[in-house]
Amino acid sequence: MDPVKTPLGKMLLEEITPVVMVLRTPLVEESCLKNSLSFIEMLSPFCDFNNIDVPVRTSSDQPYRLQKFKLRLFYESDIKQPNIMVAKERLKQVITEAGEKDRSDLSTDPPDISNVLESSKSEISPSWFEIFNKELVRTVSFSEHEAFDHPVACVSVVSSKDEQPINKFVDLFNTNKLPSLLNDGAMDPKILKHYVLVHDNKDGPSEKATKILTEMKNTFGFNGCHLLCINSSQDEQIEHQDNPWAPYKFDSSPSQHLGRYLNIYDFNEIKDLIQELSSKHIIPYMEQKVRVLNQQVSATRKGFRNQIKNLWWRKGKEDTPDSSNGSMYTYSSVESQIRVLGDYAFMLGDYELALSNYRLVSTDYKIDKAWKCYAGVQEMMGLTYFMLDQSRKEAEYCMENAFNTYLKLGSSGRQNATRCGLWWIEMLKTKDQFKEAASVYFRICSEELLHSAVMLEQASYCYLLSQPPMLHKYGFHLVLSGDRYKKCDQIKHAIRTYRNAVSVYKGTPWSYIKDHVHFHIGQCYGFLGMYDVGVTHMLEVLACSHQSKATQELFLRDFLQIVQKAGKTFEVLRLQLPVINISSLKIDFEDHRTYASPGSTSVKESVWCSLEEEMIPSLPTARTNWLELQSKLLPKYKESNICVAGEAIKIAIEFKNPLEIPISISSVSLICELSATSDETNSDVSCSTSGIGNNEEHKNLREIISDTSSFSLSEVNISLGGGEAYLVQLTVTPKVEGILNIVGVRWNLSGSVVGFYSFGANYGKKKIAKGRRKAKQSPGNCLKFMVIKSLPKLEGFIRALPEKAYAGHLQHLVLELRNQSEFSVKNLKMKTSHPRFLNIGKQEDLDLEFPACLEKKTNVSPPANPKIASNGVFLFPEDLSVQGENLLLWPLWFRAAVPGNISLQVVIYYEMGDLSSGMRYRTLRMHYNLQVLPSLDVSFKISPYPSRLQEFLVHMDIVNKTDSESIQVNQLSTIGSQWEISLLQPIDAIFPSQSLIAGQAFSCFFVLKSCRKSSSTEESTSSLFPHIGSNVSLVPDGSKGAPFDTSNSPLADFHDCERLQHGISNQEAENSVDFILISRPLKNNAQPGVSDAHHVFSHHACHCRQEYTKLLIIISVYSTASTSPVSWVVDAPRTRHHDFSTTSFCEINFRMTIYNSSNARASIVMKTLDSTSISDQLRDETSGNQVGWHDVSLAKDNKMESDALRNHVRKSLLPESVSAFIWSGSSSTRVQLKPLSTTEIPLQICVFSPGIYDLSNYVLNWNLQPVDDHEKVGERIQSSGTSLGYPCYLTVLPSD
Amino acid sequence: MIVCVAVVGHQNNPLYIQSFTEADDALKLHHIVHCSLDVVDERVNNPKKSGLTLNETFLGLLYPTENYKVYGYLTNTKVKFILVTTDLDVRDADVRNLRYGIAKITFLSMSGVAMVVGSCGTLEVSQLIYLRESFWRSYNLFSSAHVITGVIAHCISQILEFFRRFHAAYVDAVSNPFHVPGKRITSRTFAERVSNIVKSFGLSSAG
Repeated sequence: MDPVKTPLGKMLLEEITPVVMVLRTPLVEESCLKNSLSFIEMLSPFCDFNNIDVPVRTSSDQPYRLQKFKLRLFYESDIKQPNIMVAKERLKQVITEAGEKDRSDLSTDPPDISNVLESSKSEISPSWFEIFNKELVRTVSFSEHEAFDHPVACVSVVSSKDEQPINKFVDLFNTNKLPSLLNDGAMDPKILKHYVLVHDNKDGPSEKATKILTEMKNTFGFNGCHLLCINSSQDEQIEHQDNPWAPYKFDSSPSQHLGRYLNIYDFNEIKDLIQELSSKHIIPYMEQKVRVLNQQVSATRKGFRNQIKNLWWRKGKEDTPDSSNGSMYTYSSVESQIRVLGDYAFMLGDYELALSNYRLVSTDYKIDKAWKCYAGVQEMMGLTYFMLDQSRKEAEYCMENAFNTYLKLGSSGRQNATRCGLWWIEMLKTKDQFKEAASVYFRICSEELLHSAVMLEQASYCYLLSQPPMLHKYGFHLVLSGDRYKKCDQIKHAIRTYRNAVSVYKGTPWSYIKDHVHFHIGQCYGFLGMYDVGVTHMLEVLACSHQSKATQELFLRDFLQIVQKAGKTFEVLRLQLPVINISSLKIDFEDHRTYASPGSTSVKESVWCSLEEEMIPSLPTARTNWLELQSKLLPKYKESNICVAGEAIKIAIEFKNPLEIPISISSVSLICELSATSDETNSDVSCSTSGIGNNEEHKNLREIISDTSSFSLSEVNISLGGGEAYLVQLTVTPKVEGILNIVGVRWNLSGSVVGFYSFGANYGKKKIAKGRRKAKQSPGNCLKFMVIKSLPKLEGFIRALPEKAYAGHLQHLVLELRNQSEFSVKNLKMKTSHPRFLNIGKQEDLDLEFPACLEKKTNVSPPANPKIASNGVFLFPEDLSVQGENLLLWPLWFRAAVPGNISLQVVIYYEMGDLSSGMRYRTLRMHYNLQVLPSLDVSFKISPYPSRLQEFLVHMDIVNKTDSESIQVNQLSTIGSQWEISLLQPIDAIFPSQSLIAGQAFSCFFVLKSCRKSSSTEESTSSLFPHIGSNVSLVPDGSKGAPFDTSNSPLADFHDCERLQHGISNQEAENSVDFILISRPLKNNAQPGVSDAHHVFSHHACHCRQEYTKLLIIISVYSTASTSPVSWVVDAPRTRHHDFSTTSFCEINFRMTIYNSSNARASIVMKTLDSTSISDQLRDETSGNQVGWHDVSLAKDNKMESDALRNHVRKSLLPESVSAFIWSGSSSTRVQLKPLSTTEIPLQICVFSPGIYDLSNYVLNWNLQPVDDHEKVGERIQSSGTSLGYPCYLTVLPSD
Repeated sequence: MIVCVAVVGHQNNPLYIQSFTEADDALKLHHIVHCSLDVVDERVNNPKKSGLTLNETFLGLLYPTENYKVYGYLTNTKVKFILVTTDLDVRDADVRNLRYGIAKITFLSMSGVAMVVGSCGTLEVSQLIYLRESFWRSYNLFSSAHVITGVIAHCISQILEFFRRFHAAYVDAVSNPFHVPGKRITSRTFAERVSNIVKSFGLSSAG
């Protein structure tokens, strides 16, 4: 590529050209200003010769041709180094102007980065950079150390109106106004002079002017004088097409009519003047000078001898201090002459000559340590290399060297360095070394912000243009530059750079950087008053949870400021503050299922379903097959949920504040859509909205919001602290039938920004991604509701249900049902999940006085059968209907059965009185949580009464497990007619305090007597009155009235439930006894003895068994079947005195009484065993017998323990009691025993020595023969078995 | 001193950035790390140009910014590790060796290279590399070049060691079955381990 055609080449051909100094009188300027032009401006369009072909001959004999030539004209006052401050102002002005022009596309979206990459080089970087760079280069013109800015010629211009024009010419040149360059010897004051006389044709004919011209020619010589006539156009103003002056005038406006009095003659005249000046005067003068200087230089410096001489001479000067400026060289010094020679040669296009001279002088300067001059020469060398297009490397090396040397000079070289850098950059750009160019840009950044902003921006474009594009650095430098622009209040530039940066960072996860960029753009737009755009950028930074708290505050504050300034509320589709946790979305609605309290919805649907299973009518599926069913059912019913007009749908959704600072959110409400028709296309629309772009979706949402007539919405205001999450409860109540679609949620952030959030798309995605139970349902449908006609709805609650109760707490409750609508409901049914806890009373119980009603009444009426269906569903009376303002009250009995946390569910089913409505039935679901604390821990231990058949000792242990309550134990009752219970000792004796304080334990013994009758005669009565039993009052008689009636409604019902719970039916209660302990807590300890009338505890100890067993209330009893139906008593004397001296042995007679407690005939074989070891064997066998399905109960453990103990006792006893006894009489006795009868067997033993004897080594084998074949009891009770004897000790003492 | 370490995913997404300065300079460090990705890309695309071939994964000094030196390391899965340090000075002993080597060549001060060496008390690795290159190229000063090579190798090996340990920590962190590939590393163990590595690096470098 021809270096001349490159941007740098063009620039050099424009900037490094001969300078002509212009001296003029004020009158000249005056006549020019009629055209709104200064004299120089008038001439400058003609100073540029582009397509010329001028032969030039410099040092060599061979002439060459010059293609392009340019003159630069300057007034004498301008030929000086520009003031730095002025230059800065000028630069700032350029930038500001460029910014003003740039306004066009500020509000558009930032371009996509791929588009940016595709666009061409010229599109990428703004054009004003060239102007700026040119201005920047000009700030360092007219330096002393460079000769190309030194004037080559001087043109003196005098107007024909001037008095004594000839004298004026002389005056112009003599005044002290001449530039310092000429005066202080930096350049040769003898320069080419040219004299021009300007004549304004408006002032009259030109005769006078020609006269002066001849005078001039006489005075200054023929060649150097010229007459210029201007303003030839007399009256009319000339409109120039392609006004030639326009490009030369910066602040031109169309109204000025540049050159309005200049017609074509003036044009030609000016052109002639300049052409003559350059071709006949300046070029020959320069040629001449080059030749002369070259000769001089050759004479003094070229050749070996000169070089040696020079070296010696330089050596002598070595001690001179560093001189940073070039003042040590005057125009007459050889170094200056070489430099001038080089510059002239450069300007005339003889680059070879220029280069050789630059090289020559460069070493001189270096040895002299004249660094500034050295740098200047190096710079020129670089440019010359470039123009010669020879050695790129050398060119760059020279430029770098010059750049570094300038930088080393400190502040004085700073601007030169900048210019040098710019040229270097251009050089690099020409060779497509953009990356290097960018780094040079970076290096010429000065402390001055505005300057470096421009440089950084240019650097960024270089990174973009480099191959491959370095986008990261592009972005970074844009941000740096934008930051600087912003600091200098160049807002528009800042926006431009930041916007470009946005396109780099868009879509990347570098959130810190993105936040910074968006925040600053937002601010910039805010400064400019373009709040809309600013807000959109600010929105991006709102959810900046990764930032520090201070930054978050700053972001939010500035955002709100901009919003406030905008003065309107913004509606933003995806406002990121607060964050909405869509997975927390929970919808509660009531179709046929209604809920009494919000807590009810949290219970699992399956729990409810299992409760309702028995109550709700099943779908009539039997009549149709499934195909018909599909078509018959309302299709909408399947697809969407059903809700009832006038009943609220509750939506809970979590709002989370991601920031550390509190935010306030107001008017949170749902966005809903209610279409009266059941049009299916509607759903398609709502589905497809997610696919459409943001704007349309936004519009859609807005339309939806405007239509709120057919339903009402709730509004919630919340304020979220830092990092807080809040579950917002929202409701929508449809008023008319149709299809309700819940679209989303809207809220108002800090009272100024409205945010929308659409559930549809997001919710669907979430659900699909999870692929959970909702998979069957199409995702959008859970937010779609079919609204049906208003229906009666039952509301209900249980009055005064305690949340916390002690175990056994019994309370009378009232269920209250209310139906707000005027339509009646009927066929009420009810079921509770825990019948042990909640029992449904009878209607007449409603007004009972509690606990008086529990007391035994004299007239016992047979209990009416409660209407409880087999599965525990309670049917309300059929004639009952609830309607209007009527309340339905129904009594309930509550008893806290077991300690623990109980979740109690109650379902009430009801049918619509009006059959035409959409639903036949509804259910009311009630849910209560209650905590049951332990109160009394009661355990019973029943053992056979020694020596008495059919009587048992009951050992009752009570521990008060409450924290602080004192409990008075009132009454112990047994259930069933066959038991009678009585105290072993009077209660006053054993239990004087009558109440148990917290933690106290208490034991008490009772006698339990079985009064079973043998036959089935009484069976009917016992089944009729299953709960009639006997009571023992544990309080002194006088203190309280009638005992509690355990056979009546609540207690008996609960007792039944307890039995059910333990899996025992009523019938198999033969050998078991159930206890009910009634106690009451004392109100405060301050008043002992005064019992709290309203708290009655009833403890049901179910099914305690006759034998060995100890039972807690909570233990379920399984081992009933292992009971032996046969019991016996060995009626032996305890001690016997015998005189062994007279008779060596002693016979002892005693009896065994055997009782058959079963309903079957028993055949019993009693065997006596002489050896204890055999009995031990047997014992082992019997215990081994009990393999299989066998419950290892507490009782069993007890027995084992006692076995072990017994073995131990026997083993320890045996060695001492050496003499054993022998069974005399029959060793085996067989008896037949009728049901519930007793028999006696006589027994005899012989003892041979005094001692203690254990009469337990016998075995009873029994075998039951059922009386009736179809008696079912036999199936459960073991039909045969072996019982071992129990210890019975006999002491034989020698009688004295 | 290590200022910042970063892990950048293969799509140039930040996985982990941790600064070890008290100042609030997160934004700056993000920018530095983000910028250095360009250089990483460049090195990866034309590996011949990158001067150091000590280890394939080690990318060497990416670029010196105003105050920081940025080093890079690239794993086989195109995950980049970036290390931002303040001046990483050559240790005193090494400098002494260097001076000794340079003493031999002072008579050739015309080259200007020695001038650079003499004026710097401590040298940057980048300068050393430049110096070595010029020694190799311009003069037959192999001995000096070797001395410099040794010094450079010592510095580089420190950084290389750091990257190896960092890499190991990273591998352990992403082996966690609960880590989602391509997402930010939030493991606390990883953070602790990295800070330990950084601390130990500071110690060995100072000693």
